[in-house]
Amino acid sequence: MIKALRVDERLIHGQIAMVWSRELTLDGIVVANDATAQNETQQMALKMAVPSGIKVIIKSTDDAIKLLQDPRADKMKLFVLVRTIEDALKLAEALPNIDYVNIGNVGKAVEAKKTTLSQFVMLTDAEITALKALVKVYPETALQNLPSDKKELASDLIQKLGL
Amino acid sequence: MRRFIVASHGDLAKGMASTIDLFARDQKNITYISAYAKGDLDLDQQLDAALAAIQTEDTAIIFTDIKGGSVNQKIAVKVMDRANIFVIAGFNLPMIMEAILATTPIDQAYVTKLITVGQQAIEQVKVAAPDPKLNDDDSFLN
Repeated sequence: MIKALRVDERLIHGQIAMVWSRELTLDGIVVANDATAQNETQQMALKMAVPSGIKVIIKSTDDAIKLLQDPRADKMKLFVLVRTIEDALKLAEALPNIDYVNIGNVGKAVEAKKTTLSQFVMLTDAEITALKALVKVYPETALQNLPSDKKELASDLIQKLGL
Repeated sequence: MRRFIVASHGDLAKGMASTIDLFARDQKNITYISAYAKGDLDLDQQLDAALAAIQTEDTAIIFTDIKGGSVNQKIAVKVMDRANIFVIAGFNLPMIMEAILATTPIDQAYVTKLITVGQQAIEQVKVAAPDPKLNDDDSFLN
């Protein structure tokens, strides 16, 4: 089962390794990112960050969807990481069984005109369009940086900011 | 209540506060003491205030930066008669994170375990070439 699908441009990093994986008690982490699936060096660095006892696999978004549709994936507690809202939307549309769609860290690495949704989430116009579509598929999609932070529904922010 | 103090020479403790905030926000049970830093109160005053906040029903760990330092010496002497307060010298981030995120009661056994966590977190880093077998669906799903 997919305990959470998180959008995080840093993919696996300190907050994931130390905080989220502890909170979710995971069997495995699935990184779904086309560029990383092609980049061995980045894969090596990401795998180093995974806590011992947790499996990790790095796939293109298409291959990650195939993996997550395998019935055996249902028996594992999985945390799926994507880098962009667009990728989250692609997975969300293909996978009906995601417990929680989470927006973590987005926008610090992007140089473009952005709208600030929170301290950790700044989105381009294209990402806002994707977020609106994502909220239609998973209405409970929420911004939450750490498990101890309050969940802020993306749909509430879209309304509040008039996006 | 589980309580923690992080104490250092200079601003290392303040820096730790800023780092911890990225991983565990709004921790009300941690006090950071930067000794001899510009603009800060006298160390004894800071320490006495922090120690006075630890009640007899609390348990506490004080992390100091280095055993031989005056910060550690002062603390060790001030808490020598307080069985509910433990002092660990030579802190690191993984050790403090573990202490903050856990809910395990603080006792001698826990303090010993925490020191092991901190020691094991110090390791040489070598990037390993990926084993392609480890990235196939079957080995992940089984």
